Amino acid sequence: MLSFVKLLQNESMKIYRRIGTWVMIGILLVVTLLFGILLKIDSPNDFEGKDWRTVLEEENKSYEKELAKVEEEGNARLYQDFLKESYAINQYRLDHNISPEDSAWEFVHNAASLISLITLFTIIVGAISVAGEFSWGTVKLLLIRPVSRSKILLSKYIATFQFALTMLVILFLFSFLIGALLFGLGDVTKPYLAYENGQVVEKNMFLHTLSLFGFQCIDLLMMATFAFMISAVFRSSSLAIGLAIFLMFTGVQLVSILAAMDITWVKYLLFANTDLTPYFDGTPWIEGMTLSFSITMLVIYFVLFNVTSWLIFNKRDVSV
Amino acid sequence: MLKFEGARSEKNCITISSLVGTKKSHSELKVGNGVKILRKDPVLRVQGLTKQIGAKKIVDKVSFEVYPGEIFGFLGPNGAGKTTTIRMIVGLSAISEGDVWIKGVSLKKNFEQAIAHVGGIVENPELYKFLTGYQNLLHFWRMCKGVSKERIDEVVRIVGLEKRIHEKVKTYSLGMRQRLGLAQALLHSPSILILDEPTNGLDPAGIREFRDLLKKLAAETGLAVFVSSHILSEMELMCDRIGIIQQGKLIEVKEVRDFVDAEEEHAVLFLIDPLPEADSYLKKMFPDYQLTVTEDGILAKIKREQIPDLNAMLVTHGIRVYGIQKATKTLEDRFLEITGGGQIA
Ligand SMILES: Nc1ncnc2c1ncn2[C@@H]1O[C@H](COP(=O)(O)OP(=O)(O)OP(=O)(O)O)[C@@H](O)[C@H]1O
Ligand SMILES: [Mg+2]
Repeated sequence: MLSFVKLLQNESMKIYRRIGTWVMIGILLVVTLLFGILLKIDSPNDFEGKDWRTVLEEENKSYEKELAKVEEEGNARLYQDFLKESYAINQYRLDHNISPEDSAWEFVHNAASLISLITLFTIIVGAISVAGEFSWGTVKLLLIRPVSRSKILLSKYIATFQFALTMLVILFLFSFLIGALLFGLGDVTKPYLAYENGQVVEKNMFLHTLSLFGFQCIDLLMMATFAFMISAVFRSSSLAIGLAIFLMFTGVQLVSILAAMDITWVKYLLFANTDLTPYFDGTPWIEGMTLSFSITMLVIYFVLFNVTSWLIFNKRDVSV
Repeated sequence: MLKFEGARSEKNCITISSLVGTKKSHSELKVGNGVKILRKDPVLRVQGLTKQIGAKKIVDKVSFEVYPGEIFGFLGPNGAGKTTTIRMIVGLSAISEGDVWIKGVSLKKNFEQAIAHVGGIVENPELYKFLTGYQNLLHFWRMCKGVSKERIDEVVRIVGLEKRIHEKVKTYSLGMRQRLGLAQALLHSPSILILDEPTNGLDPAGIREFRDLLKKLAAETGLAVFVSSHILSEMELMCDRIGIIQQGKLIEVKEVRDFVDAEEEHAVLFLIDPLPEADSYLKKMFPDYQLTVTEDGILAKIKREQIPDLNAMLVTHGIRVYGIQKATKTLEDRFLEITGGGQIA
């Protein structure tokens, strides 16, 4: 056990002693800051000194009109849903006196979209962690120690996700800080309003934010594991990084195109299952897909990726 | 127990019989005066080691042993299979057939236990360039069991890298990297060092220093060293025994001295005048002898006791003998002879 902690220390040392890692952390901070400034400049929630209640009432009147018009035409179901939801939440705010003004929490929610940047960085770190040893030639010194290859691989895998976790915590804290500075702290204890089955429900803001981060992390976990596998199998970090990033950006598009063409086997693709949010609010890609189906598929892919990297890392000759 | 140093000293003439492929745990040494001495258990025993890729056997049934305090040279032309053999011994490459025992522990069956006694550098000492020398050693220190942290400073001192150890490896010269490579190999006080062409890229002073260090470690701590090279003169100066590998087969294992003096017949150079006369005379008198005319004399391949006879003949026939030299073969001559020149396998 102690020896494994030492392996983790080694892997962390190799991650954080590289300048590249600090560049990534710097990029994350800068992008979060720029994102905040951009939202501040282009804020839709600019009440121009007016009372937010008057603004919401005006908004709701226009929503009613729009809704009536769209319902008459009888299509655009998604748009109708959106209008209904917005209307209901506005009404709930008016009834319960919950201000819609942007605060630190709203910015943290927005910043959750930056997790894809962390996914990208984790892919890079994971790919280099294995393939880097081969391109540096250091694998020859690493594998002639009284430590099994499995342990070495596991320590690399865990260190990669330790890095991801660190980045997530940085994003969470830093976006809260930026949010508080740019939009004011607001009422930190105010609830999050969700729209479920035609009802507005209050939720704990902190837990909601965590779950928002959590859902994004499924994609992170799967893509980084995929990159890790490619890097262990082909021992090339550029191939692993390239392939993982390519799939990350095109995978979901591909699934949406195939789903639109009513091809049902698309549901077995990884990217049809990485986003679990539709099961909680929204509609899944394919009729009949369920949460448990997606989780099963994710587990299958996860095990497949990891077993492949483990088998190949353990078996193959080192010829550097 | 005999310190192996003794085998190299000039006065103690030791002949070792059947060192290759012995299955006994103790092999016998006969010292000049007939006293039998038991040799220690081998640190490294390689038995029938074979690497097959496709139909080709890159390494073919290689067997040898390396004993404590001994420097064993592994000599072969490019592509002979030296690196492949070393990769199998340190577990970087799967063994097709045969096995490797380190201090009696089978590498195939118990890799972690066996490799704990091995320190190695395979080809170039590639280390983490973005870390300092010290961080590199710390990294490998964390991977070995029961070694005190002070040992890091100790090996840094042994390889003489104290001044630069806290600088990034990317600022190191090749020689300094070699030293750091050696430091990581010595970190856990291994019983055997396995080095693949360790003097690659070192300057003559560096090579000498490296050789002296290895000899010192072997003599003082009983460290066994297995070192591959194709720098022949280097091997001759450093090793106690040498194995020659060619096209994947170990074709000869001998004491360095035996290699050079193996033959009964010696090449002896007679510096004489006049040459043509002497040549025709000797050819007539000794038609069985192998004689070659060179620039300054005649090179004869003869037995030791024939030297004075031949000299006497020359003198009595009025041929002036200015000198008689034993043209000892260097290892290089032997090597090229055995491996048939510089042909790459
Ligand atoms: N993975 C491989 N697949 C096929 N052939 C290989 C492989 N690795 C090595 N070889 C071949 O095996 C032979 C021995 O190679 P090896 O690297 O062991 O030679 P070497 O004795 O170390 O040579 P050098 O002095 O040049 O370092 C070469 O002919 C090489 O081409
Ligand atoms: Mg080689």
